[in-house]
This record gives sequence, C-alpha cells and structure tokens, in this order.
Amino acid sequence: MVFSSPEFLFFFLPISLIAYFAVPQKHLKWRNLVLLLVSLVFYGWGEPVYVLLMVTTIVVDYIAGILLYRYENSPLKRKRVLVGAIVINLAILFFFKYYDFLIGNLRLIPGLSFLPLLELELPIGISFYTFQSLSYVIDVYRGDARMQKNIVSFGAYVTMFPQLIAGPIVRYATIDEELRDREHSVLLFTSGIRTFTAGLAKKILLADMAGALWGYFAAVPAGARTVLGAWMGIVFYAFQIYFDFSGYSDMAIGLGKMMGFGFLENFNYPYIARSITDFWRRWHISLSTWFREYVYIPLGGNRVGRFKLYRNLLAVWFLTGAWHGASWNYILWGLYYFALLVIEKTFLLKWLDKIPVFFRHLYSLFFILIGWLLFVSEDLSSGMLLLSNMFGANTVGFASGQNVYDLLRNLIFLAIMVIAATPYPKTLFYKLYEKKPLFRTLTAVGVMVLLVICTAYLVSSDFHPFLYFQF
Amino acid sequence: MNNQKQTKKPKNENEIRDEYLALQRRLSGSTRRLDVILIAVFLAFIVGFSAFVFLLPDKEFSEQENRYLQTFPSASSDFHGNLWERIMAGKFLDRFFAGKFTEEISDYLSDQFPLRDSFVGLKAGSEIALLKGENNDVLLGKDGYIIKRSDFPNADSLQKNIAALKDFSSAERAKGVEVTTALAGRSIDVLESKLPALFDPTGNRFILGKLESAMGEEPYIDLLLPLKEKADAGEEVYYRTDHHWTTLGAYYAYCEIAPALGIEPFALDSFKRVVASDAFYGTTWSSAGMKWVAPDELHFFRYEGDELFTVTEMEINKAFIEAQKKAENGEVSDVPLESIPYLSEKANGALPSLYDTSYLQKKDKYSAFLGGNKALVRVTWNDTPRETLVIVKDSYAHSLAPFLARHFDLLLVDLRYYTGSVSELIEQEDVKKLLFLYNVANLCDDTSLAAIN
Repeated sequence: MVFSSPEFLFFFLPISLIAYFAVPQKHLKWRNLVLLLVSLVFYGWGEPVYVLLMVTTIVVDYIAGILLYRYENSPLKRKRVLVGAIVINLAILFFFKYYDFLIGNLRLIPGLSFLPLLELELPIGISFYTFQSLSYVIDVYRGDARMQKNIVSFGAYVTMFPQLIAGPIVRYATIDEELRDREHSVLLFTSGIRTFTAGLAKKILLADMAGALWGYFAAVPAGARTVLGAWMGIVFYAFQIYFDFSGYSDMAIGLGKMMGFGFLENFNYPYIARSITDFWRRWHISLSTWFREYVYIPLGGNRVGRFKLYRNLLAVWFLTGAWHGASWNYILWGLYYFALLVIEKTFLLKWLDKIPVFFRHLYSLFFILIGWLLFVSEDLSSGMLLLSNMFGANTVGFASGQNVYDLLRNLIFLAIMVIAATPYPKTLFYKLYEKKPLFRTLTAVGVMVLLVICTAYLVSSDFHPFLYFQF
Repeated sequence: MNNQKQTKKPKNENEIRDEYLALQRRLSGSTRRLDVILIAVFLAFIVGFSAFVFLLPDKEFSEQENRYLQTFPSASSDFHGNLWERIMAGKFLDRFFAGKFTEEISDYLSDQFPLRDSFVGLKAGSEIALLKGENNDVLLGKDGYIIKRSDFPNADSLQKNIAALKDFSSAERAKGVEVTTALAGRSIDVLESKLPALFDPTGNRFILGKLESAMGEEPYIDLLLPLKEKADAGEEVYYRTDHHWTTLGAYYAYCEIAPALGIEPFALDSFKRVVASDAFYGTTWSSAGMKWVAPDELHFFRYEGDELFTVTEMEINKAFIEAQKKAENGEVSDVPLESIPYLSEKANGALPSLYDTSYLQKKDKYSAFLGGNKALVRVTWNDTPRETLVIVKDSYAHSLAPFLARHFDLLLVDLRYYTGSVSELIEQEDVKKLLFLYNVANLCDDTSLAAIN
C-alpha cells in the first residue's frame, strides 16, 4: 500500500490509528503489537506472500541479537553471529533484487546463455527494511544499542509502516529508547498531522503534477525534440523525484510523530546545495548515514592513505548506485557521483570557495540534473538521446510553440516548487507561528484545506506513481 | 531554480525540529484547544469518508464518466459448497492472495468516493486557478469551448492504418468499386480560433504532416480546412464540450463529400433544425472536470419523409456461413449459395429510426444518432430500392448518415466491432460505392482498421 492512495488515507490510516490509541498509554508493549500487526497488513496489502519473507528477516535478526547478548564474553562467537546475520540478510536481498540482473549479464557471455532467469517480483521496500534490520544487529554488536528482548517491539521497529516502503532508514540506535518508552501527546499528534499533510501535498500536488509534465516531455517523439523541451523535462523530473521522495519522508515523520516516534529528517533542501559534496549531505540523509556508519567508516573512512580512501569512496558509491536498483544506469549514476566527489575532494572544493555563490549553485544544479538524467534512463539510448537534446543535437530547434506555452502556463507552478524547495517557507512558518496567534488558527484551517485539495487530486487522477519499486 | 544568495547558513533540520517542539511546548497553553479541534477534524475527515463509502449503497454505473464503477469486491472466487469444500478447492480467499481483492478495493474506494464529482471539479478549478490553462489534457478555450489537447498522437499507428486503407482502396478500385476517403479534422485543429491565447497551434502540425506524407498520392477529401473556415467565421461546427462535430458541421462535411459521391447536396434551408437537447455534456466535458462549462445543444436536421427510414442492425447470415463452409469442403448443399441472402437482421436489431431519442435522457446524448456504436447497420427508406453506399467509419459518421441517407441506402461498418470481411460484404451486396469516413484522432488510436480485409 502506498500513502498517496484512498485506501491508505481513508481506510487503513483511520483504522490503524483507532486500534493503536484504543490501547492505553501504559501498555506500550501492546501498542507496539498493534503497530506490528497493522504494519504487516500494510505490507501484505499488495503482495501477501512476501510478508513471510519479512517475518524471516525479523526472526533471524532478533535471534542474532539474543545470541550477541548471550555470547557477551566470547568475541569470536559474536563475530560469527554477526557475519551469519549479515550474510543471511544480504543473501535474501541479493536473491530477490540482483539475481536476475547478474544472471542477465552473465547470459551475454557465450556459453552461459542457458542460465535461467527467475523474474521474481521485487518485494516492495526490501532494501529499506533489510538495511534497517541490519543496523540493529550491527548496533548491538558494537554496543551502540541494547539487545531487544521483546520480538514484538523489534518486529514493530522493522515493519513500522510509516517508513517501511520509502524510508527514511531508521537506525536502531536512534529509536531504541522510544520502543521501550515514548511520549504521546496532543502536541506531537497535531505536529504530526501538519508534517504528514505537508508531505502528502508535496507528493500529490507537486511531485505527481511535475511527473506528468516530465512524462509529456520524455514522450516527445524523436523528430520533434527541442533544447528547451529537454531541459524542461529534466527539471520537472528533478522536482518530481525531490518532492516525491521528501514528501514520503515527511509523511513518515508525521505519522511517526502521531505515534510518538521522532524520526530524523531525511532531506535538508538538497537543491540549495553549493557543491555536490553539499548535495549529498542534504539528499536522502538516512541512506548516506547508513553507508557512512556501516561501510565507509568500518573500511577505515578517510583516516587512511590516498589509495585506500578512493577505494572506500568507490565502494560506497558503487553500493549507493546499486542500492537504488538492479540496473546499469543506477550503478553508472553512483559512479558518476563518485567521480564528482573525488574531483571536489582533490581540488574543486577549494576553487569553488573562491567563486560567487550564484555560480556554485549553478554548478551544483547542473551536475545534479545530469545525474537525474542517468538515474531516470533505464535504457541507455533514451538517456543519450535526451542528453544530446539538452545540448542541441537531434533537435528541431531551440524551442517549439508548445514549449513556450507550457513554460508560461506552468510559471506559477514552477515558482511554487522553487520556493518549496528552499527553507524560506519553513522559517517564515516558525516565525509567524511563534508571534501571531491568529496564524496558529489559520494553520489549522490551512491544514484541512490542504487535505481537502489533496483528496480532490487523489480521487480525480490515476496518476500517482510509486517511484521506489526498484529500490 | 534557487539562485538567491544565502546570507546565513540554514540551520540543521534537527535543530529546527527541536526548536519547534520547544516553541510548541511554550505555546501549548493557548493552543491546546486549537490542537484538539484540529485532531478531531482530521480524524472526522479520514474516518467520515471511509464510513460513507462503506455505508452508502454502491453506485454501479457513472453517467458522468460513462463507465461501470467498481462495486464492493469479493475476497474469494464464486464457489458452490461449504467452507471446507471451498478451502479444498482453493477458492477460499484466493482472490485476496492473488492481490485481486486489494486492487479492487482500491478502485472501489476511488470510484465510490463520496462527492467524487465535486472533488473532480475542485481539482479542475485549482488547476485553472494556478493559470495552468488546462486540466487532464483538456484546454479551457475561448467562448466556452473545451478542447482535448494531443500534441503527439501515435504516428506509427496512423501510418499503419493509412497503409491498410490505401491497400484496401486500390484492391477495391481494381474491382470497379468507387472509393472515396474523407477525413474529419481533430477538434483542436478545427477550433484553432477557440484555443487559449498563448497556445501555439503550429504545435498541432506534427500529426498533420505525418498524415499528409502517409497519404501520399492517395486522393482524399480533407474536411479539416472547410470546417475550420466555418469555425473561424464563428459557426458552431464542432461541439463545445464534445470531440464530435455538430449536426451543422456534419452538414458541411456532407456538402464537401457529395460531389465525390456524384450527388447534389440538399440546401441547408431544406432541413428543419430541431433542438433535441439543450443539456448535452460531451466526452471532453467529462474528462475536463470543469463543471462550470455550459452544456451544448444537440440538433437534429429533420426533413420530410425522414420518419420512413428503416434502420436495422445486421449480421452475416448464419445459413450463408454454413452453406459457404459446405461449398468449401466440396459438399453439395440443398440450397445454392447464391440464393441465400448474405446478411440477416440481428436478433432485436431493429432501431427506432435514424434517431434513438431514448439517449436524450441519458448522459451519452450523441448516441441518439443511429443508436451509437454498432458493428453493422443498414438504412433503407420506405421499402424503395435505392443505390447502396457502404461507409466504413467511426462515430463521426453517425450524425452525417441522416444526410447521406437522403440519397442512398446505407451499410455502416464499424471495424471496431465488425469482424467480417468488408470486401466480401461489398461483393455479396453488390455495392459499387464505398466511403471511408474517419476522424484523424481516431486514425491515430484505432487498432482495427489496420486489419481490414
């Protein structure tokens, strides 16, 4: 089930919230049980069988946690448990996500074409919850988190529906305390409603509408492409993926607040970045953090020689690319960022410091857009065509009459998206919220109005794509 | 995008969040009541709508959208037997586990959503308020016109269809059949003068260029230009809320086609214009969601004697098919093939007349012409034998047919539904005149014309 659907908003969500709050606050464990059960329904909604897969992951990592605790005094055994758990988790992930990709490529080698493809449907969100569950085992192993004796609470952590299918990836250590004891309050709940509604609006009113425009430009036949059209297409896609992804994160954070959890922010206005390094501190923060904590630093991080540093970066960026999907374009996208980051680390950041901020933004946005082009082009030829269009090749002109019309009629929409991608609306919101009592009332009204408008867009259009099936 | 200078470094998100929560705690005394109200309204909103969906009786058909709606789905397949037998037969919750139930629940909720029409209108209104000028690919044009936008229709399928049309035409010409092709313009091309001011109509020429090069040397009557001239002059030749031409538009098309068919068109004032309905909301209106757009009038152009038509749905005679099979197998039939009529009347195939006025009470009022889409329809007049014209067509022909019926007996073939061979039909019915009448938009979408034989 996805958040931007009537069945979530008007069926699953009310029932879940009622069930959850029907349990008194003092029986927090039972609330965790409700959370676990509704999350399993949420997950099994589209693909009931894959619930078993997730339950397997939960049981394996739960047992690993217990064993790590039991073998407290035997480092060797602890290491074996850790390795065992990692292998099982990654094996499941690999099998469902990368098996066909690997075999498909091996089949290109003469003599290996007999290898069978499985064509399994990818369990939705598997990359998110596998990473999340792994973080528990590793955190317990390192002593960063306590072992969770209660399998219900642990299961609730892994399956938690707010962030199950599109993140953020919540590290166990950050939520350990809250699983044992957390506060629910009217304050937190209303704050959750506001965050959730803002996320829903980002997804339905901005991302989906931008996505429809990207779809239009991507489908322009080869004989009618223009430079402006190609740029508009990729810009709308950049808005789509940002508002979609950060909208999902906001919805997750909002739902978490309603149930007393404080998830960390996943996006920090990535498009105001002044360098690619800066961009990756702002984009999908929970994933970068995960790779930093569990791959980059264990490999030695940056306290190693130059060669090893590049090796570590390469490993992280190869994995980051592959994490987004089992296809070459994602790997290429990861390696593209590896190259950019290495260049910035070696000399470019120093240069960038000397030029006006405007050009630093321009530089960052340019390479971010080219990055999205790689990301979105699952087949190489369409990606190359679009790239060539952006620089004037294979086009029929700079701009068509339609391009100008579409640009003009979307000016307000574009302006809204540009403003929404900066921190200004939020800072203004806080300022007014603190100083103007009338504004607080208006906020409550605004939230409901936004919810009604979102509903209108939700029920009257079928175009609400879920972008993370590949993840 | 964002090129503004950053005067100070934005705060870390978590700092902002903590500050915000601290602020809220400080304010909690005064805002507590407001917060409780917000929670109550939020819950009432999400609980209320689902309660309505499940409590109110299901609607089965949407007149508005002209389609069947999803009713409450079942989690198991149909099965006669008790629960145990059901489980053993694999018919217990099988649709749930196959993901069908959940899929249909999703459709169910959005189809049966309370106030659905109002929400659709709210979305359209919001889009227009943002000055986007269109909703759901429908342009809000001038003078109350709403026009479907389609910049890049499927050119491949257009080329395939035209290639099939050309092959078929030349084969029929070789057999001595007079073939006329007439192509109606898309409403966006005809109604250029009604497009929004900023819209650049040259954008529509993509598909027109493809059409021209695909037709090549093949002669055809281009109905776009003459009707566009009328539209430019302010005549209502296409509906404001529907993709079809009006009856007046169909009349002008008839005048354009007439010379090729060797007939003299009747003058406009020989018809009596009747307003059949003044509340026709067409297909464009349905997908636009722009509730404020006024309906169209739907006219009938009546003339003396037009109540004497016999309009019948036909099919290939089953006796003929059997005898034909026997003949192919070399068996001797009791009745010679030639003496069996090729076509027979379909069961309950008699239509009221050229106009089926029962549709005027429904949403789909254009179907009042010839009763809507049918595989094969025969039109004859007063049992008087006249020359027969075969029209291979889409729905644009429905409002044109009453004009041509004044000159010919008609056989109207809709390839989307007619599975027989058109060349056999022409041969068996001994027809000498064939008219192809298609709208260019349909030529791009149609998947049945390419298979004509």
